[in-house]
Amino acid sequence: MTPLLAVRGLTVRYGPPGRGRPAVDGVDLTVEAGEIVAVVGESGSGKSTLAHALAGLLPDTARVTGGVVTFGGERVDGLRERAWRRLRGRRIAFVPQDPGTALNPLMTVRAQLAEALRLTGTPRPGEDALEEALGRVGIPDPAALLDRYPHQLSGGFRQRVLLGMALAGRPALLIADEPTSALDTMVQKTVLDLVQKVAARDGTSVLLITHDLGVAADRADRVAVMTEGRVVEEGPADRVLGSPRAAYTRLLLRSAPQPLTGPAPAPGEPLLVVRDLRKVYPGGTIAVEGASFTLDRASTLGLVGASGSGKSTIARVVTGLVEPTSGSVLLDGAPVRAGRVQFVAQNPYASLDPLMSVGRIVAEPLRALRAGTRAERRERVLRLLEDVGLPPEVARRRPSALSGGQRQRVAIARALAPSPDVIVLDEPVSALDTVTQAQILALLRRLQDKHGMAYLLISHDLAVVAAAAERLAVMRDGRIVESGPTADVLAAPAAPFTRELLAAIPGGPRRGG
Amino acid sequence: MTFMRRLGVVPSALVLLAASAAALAPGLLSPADPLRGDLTQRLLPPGTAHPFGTDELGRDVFTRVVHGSAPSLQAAVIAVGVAVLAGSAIGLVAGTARGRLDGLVMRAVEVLLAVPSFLLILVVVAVLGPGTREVALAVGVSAAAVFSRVMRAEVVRVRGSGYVEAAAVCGTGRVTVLLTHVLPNAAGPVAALATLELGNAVLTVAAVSFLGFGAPPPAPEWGSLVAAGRPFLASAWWLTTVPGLVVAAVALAVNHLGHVLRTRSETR
Repeated sequence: MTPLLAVRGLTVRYGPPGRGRPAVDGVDLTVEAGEIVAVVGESGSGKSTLAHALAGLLPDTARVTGGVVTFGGERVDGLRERAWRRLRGRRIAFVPQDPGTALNPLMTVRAQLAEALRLTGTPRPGEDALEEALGRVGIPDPAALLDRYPHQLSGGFRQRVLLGMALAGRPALLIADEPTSALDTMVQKTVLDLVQKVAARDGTSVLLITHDLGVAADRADRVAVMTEGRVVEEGPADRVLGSPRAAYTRLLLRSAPQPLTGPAPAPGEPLLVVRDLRKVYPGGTIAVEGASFTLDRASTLGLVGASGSGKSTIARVVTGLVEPTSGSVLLDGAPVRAGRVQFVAQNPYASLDPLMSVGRIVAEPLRALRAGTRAERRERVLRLLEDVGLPPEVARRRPSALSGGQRQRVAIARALAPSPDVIVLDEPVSALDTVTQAQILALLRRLQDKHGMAYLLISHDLAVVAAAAERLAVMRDGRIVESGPTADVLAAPAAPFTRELLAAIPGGPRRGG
Repeated sequence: MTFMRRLGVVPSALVLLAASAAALAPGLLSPADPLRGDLTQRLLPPGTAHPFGTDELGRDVFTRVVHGSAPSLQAAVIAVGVAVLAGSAIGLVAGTARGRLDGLVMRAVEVLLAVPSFLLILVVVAVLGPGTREVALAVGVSAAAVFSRVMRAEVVRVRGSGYVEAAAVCGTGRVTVLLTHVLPNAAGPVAALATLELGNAVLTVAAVSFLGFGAPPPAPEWGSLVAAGRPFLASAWWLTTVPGLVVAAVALAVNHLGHVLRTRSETR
């Protein structure tokens, strides 16, 4: 039997001919009917270009320069846009990466869904057809959702609406490009459950593009690992993840965060004490409701919770960006003084001033505290860059010349500059690839051993927190529902919410043993 | 393609170069006196001796156009300078303060925008009296409102960015954050708008001077040259057409170069 989708030697290039290496370089891939195939790779590995090429959605700057793609036995490479439009939405569906931008903000869900249904051949979709399309993707009350605008929906629901639109025509193949990387772990689980369920029910094949090996391990029948435009390993999920042959697959597997094991640390000397913190934003939204925790000297406390649980508000209160409504934040028994608590933000692309050189960025806290002369500051910047594993010449460059991981290192160097007692890390690795993530976590551990500061590590990803923090606190709806040594909480979670979080970690049981 | 596009810049650059040279060193291009005429040489059409012809008093039009570029261009540059400085300052204050002050300032700016700009210019000139500098100020004031709105929007955007937050955690003072982070990052669109506005200002200054509010005669200015040639439209077309074409060429050249610079900075 011919496979549903067969790709042979597909090569895609960007820019003028003959320059640079291709983004997709001679890729072979097969998707059988009803099968879920995961393509795993870092950003820049060419996996998104591959997904776009297979959906006929390549930008004008890209060209397919070689290879054969057959879908349902017919060649689809080199199809014209008109022919693609007949195929796309009906036989091949595409779910994009970012549900935040993929829906038209000025159109209701009804209008966008109706448009999708019209394209699949229902000229005037009735109310029940629209509701059925949403019901199929597990939306509990479709009628109420139809007249909402995208901004009134959470990320998970937006992604479900997109999925509903994609699946409305009962396509034979669903191409999902990082469908959950913009969502937190819990929502990711529900969305992926849904994809799997719908695929099994309708016999739809799924090509799942992801950077997360755990996701691939949980969901896929077969896995292809991509790096630098090539597929370096391909096979059944169990075989690829259980006994990987390619060195790159092994590196990916090694980089997955491993929970800290070993005995619970002895209680140390309390450094940062937060008592009964409460923050009500103007308008009455209660972000944090009576949170209390203690951070010991030279230790790491992980704060885990879904988005909207109030963990970022705690980060902002501790760093002094936001005044608490009530409650106290004491460092060594006194209010926090300037420079002693520093901050590393989630998005390294936004947290560095694009017009400043890296040297000036790292020196900023020193300038603010008027520490040392200009020459001393320059000397200190070079030492800090060395500390975070960056070469000294980076000091003269602009952030735009650096990769995401390098930028996050710069942000860490800046936080280190005034020798703080506490560094608040707000989702420090969630914008980074698995391999870079592991490097940054290792760097943070090394810096803590060397300089002895404490970390408050905030993340939605329990796996990351468990890999870096000796103690953790779990937040839900502004309250801390559980806290304790990481190993204890993981072994015997007391709160039901913690158990849900644990279950949502992709690839969990496989990694644990 | 890129080569052709680069080639297209050359005429604009030449026009602008010639205009700047005329403004900075008029004597170099045309050593004659723009005010002194030779009555035996009245209303001569363009020829070898007088490339742009002569006017009703026998003055060389080329000389007058060359000597008129300094006040005309100066007025345009001053106008844009006034607009950028005043507009940015207003926008910076409004965007930083937010709240009631922001509302108050921006509503005032909207009132300014609601008045037709030419009317506003005439009112300011009527209050200040005629003269090149007065016209420049009037044009600048009328353009400031747009700059203040762009600046405010940029300030609001940049203030919410991660690096401004990071600077606050570093302990950097508010004024320093404003000067080192907010202003430089907000300046891009304002600079782009300024290049666009310069071409516009050349036109507006010429228009106001055409109406007789610029430098008093006999001093040459592009706009007043066109006005002075009007009675001879039927018999001596060059008196109005040549200065008019010069204004159009300079405005086009400035706009074109501004556009090229803008697209280049955006794609980078």
